[in-house]
Amino acid sequence: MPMDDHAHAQVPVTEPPSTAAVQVRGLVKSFGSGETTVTVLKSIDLDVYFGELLLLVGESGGGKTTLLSAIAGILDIDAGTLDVLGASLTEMPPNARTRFRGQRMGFIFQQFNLLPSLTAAENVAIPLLIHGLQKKEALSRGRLMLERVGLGDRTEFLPRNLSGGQQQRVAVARALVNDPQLLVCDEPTAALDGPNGQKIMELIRDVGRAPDRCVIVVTHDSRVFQFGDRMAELTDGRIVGIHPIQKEAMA
Amino acid sequence: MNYVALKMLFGDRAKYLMLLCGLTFAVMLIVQQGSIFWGLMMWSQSSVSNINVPLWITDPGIGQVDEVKPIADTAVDRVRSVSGVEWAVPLYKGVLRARLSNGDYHQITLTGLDASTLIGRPAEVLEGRFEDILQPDAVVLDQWAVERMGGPTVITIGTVFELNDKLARVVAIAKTQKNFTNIPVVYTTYDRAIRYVPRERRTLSYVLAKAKDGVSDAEVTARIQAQTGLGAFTAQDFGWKTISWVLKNTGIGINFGTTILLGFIVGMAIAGQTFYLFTVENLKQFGALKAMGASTFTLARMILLQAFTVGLTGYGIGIGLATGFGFLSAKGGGLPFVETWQLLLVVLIALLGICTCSALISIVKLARLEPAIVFR
Repeated sequence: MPMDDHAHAQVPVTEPPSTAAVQVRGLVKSFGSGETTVTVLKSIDLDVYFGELLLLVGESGGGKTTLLSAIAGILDIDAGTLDVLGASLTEMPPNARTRFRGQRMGFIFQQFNLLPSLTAAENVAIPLLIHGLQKKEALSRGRLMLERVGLGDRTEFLPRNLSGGQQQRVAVARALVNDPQLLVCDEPTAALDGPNGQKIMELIRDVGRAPDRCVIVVTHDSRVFQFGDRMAELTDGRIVGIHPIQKEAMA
Repeated sequence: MNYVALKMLFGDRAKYLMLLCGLTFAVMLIVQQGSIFWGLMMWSQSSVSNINVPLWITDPGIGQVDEVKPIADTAVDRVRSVSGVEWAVPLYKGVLRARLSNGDYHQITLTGLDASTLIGRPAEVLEGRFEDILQPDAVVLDQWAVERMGGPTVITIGTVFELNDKLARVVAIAKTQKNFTNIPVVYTTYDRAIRYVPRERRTLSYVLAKAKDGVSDAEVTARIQAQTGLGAFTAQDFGWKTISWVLKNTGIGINFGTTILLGFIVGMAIAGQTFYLFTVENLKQFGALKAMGASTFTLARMILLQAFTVGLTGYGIGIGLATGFGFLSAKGGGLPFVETWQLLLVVLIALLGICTCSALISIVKLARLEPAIVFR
């Protein structure tokens, strides 16, 4: 029995799951070759549902980021199947996967990865520009998105003139500007202090979560666990448990 | 994404300026050295361009225009007898020493023109009348002769000097293109030139000719060669023959070629290295773009746009600087500097080559880049 199913059987989720947005089955990923081969993911099974915010937690080197990269379609896997938003990523050619990512996924990175010479609005507009939207229209939508994340008065600021928290807000706006169905976040609070980290997670929860979207967050920051719906714990390349998050207990 | 590419390029000012300086320097060096080289080549065949006639006939073994190999005086009539020749006139060309009244000696190139037609005379006269060359003992100097022989205070209209102990009187100053050897040119009539030089069995240097209308120069030169056994060249061919001789017999081609190659290599090295550094330092950003759906093709297009933008900017500035240098230093024809559209086109192609190669190094790096790098 797949571990994910096993986890579901033991611990029901807080809200009945709807359709699975992400289905991972028997995922294996190794790095290196010959005697130096390291298997980072060992037959992972996981479902992530629309409308939920799933936290991927676990010790460093446990495979969280590798799993996230595989789900996001930016890392080839060695074995298993990966169905994301109704499409099989494992069978998708690289170019189609790139287009698929751009159209249906949003990314939030630990180090923000904003382009330093672009203003906040221009950074937010990048996913739209990639898909050929006219600059004027893309910038207009970028500014609107910045208003939604509370940076309406910082649209023309360069990243170096924004605080870390503000930069991550810009990154959140960028991830959401093309209305993705899967939001992938890698340690979004790691480069921020406690209060700013909380604010970013609030933003991801409030602005990012939607009934037709699922959010996967890799984190080791226990202070933000309260923002998730479920938590999948990885240790040594295996999911050792998937738990619903008891909000009351956290509070 | 062109907008993003350009903002990335201009945003990193230090690297942009370094790239721009490298490419500007490379363009300026190549254009400047190329123009000086071509200017020298034009000087080397200026005897042909200054005389400005369609056909040159002389000894078939001649290497270049200044290497005179005298031919028999009968050659003029033999050339005139070839069908398709409209006219043919003699030309004397030889080196003599002029002795000024102050006792100074100067080496000069004596050019003797056909007195009845004055064919081969310079197109522009700066002072006096060229036709006065028909007066007794009259000679016409070019402006370089005035400069080399002491300047306008020493040489002016009416100045008298000696050529081989015979009197020569300046009646006009003509404008000509400077010669590679920078030996002053003194024009006189053919018959008088023969009187100035020591007696030789053969005195005719060249026969200048023109083909009749409707007969091509190439056809007439072929006929002259076949019927007279002389070497016959169109002015263009003779000019190229001279340039070719200079290239083969002096190290000038290798010297300038090395400098131009260095300009290319320096530009290539600076542009390639800076571009690569630019890419490596922005690897995470490029990875993020890839993760967000930018294809390798899109990123390659961005890199090429950046490379060509900075390249064409450097091209414009480099050409501007080189042209400015040429304008200031070669003003009045004192220095050889001939900037041709062909040279600019070649430099443009070379520059686009530099930019493409520089960009390709970065594109290869980006093509191999796993977007997963953004999560590390």
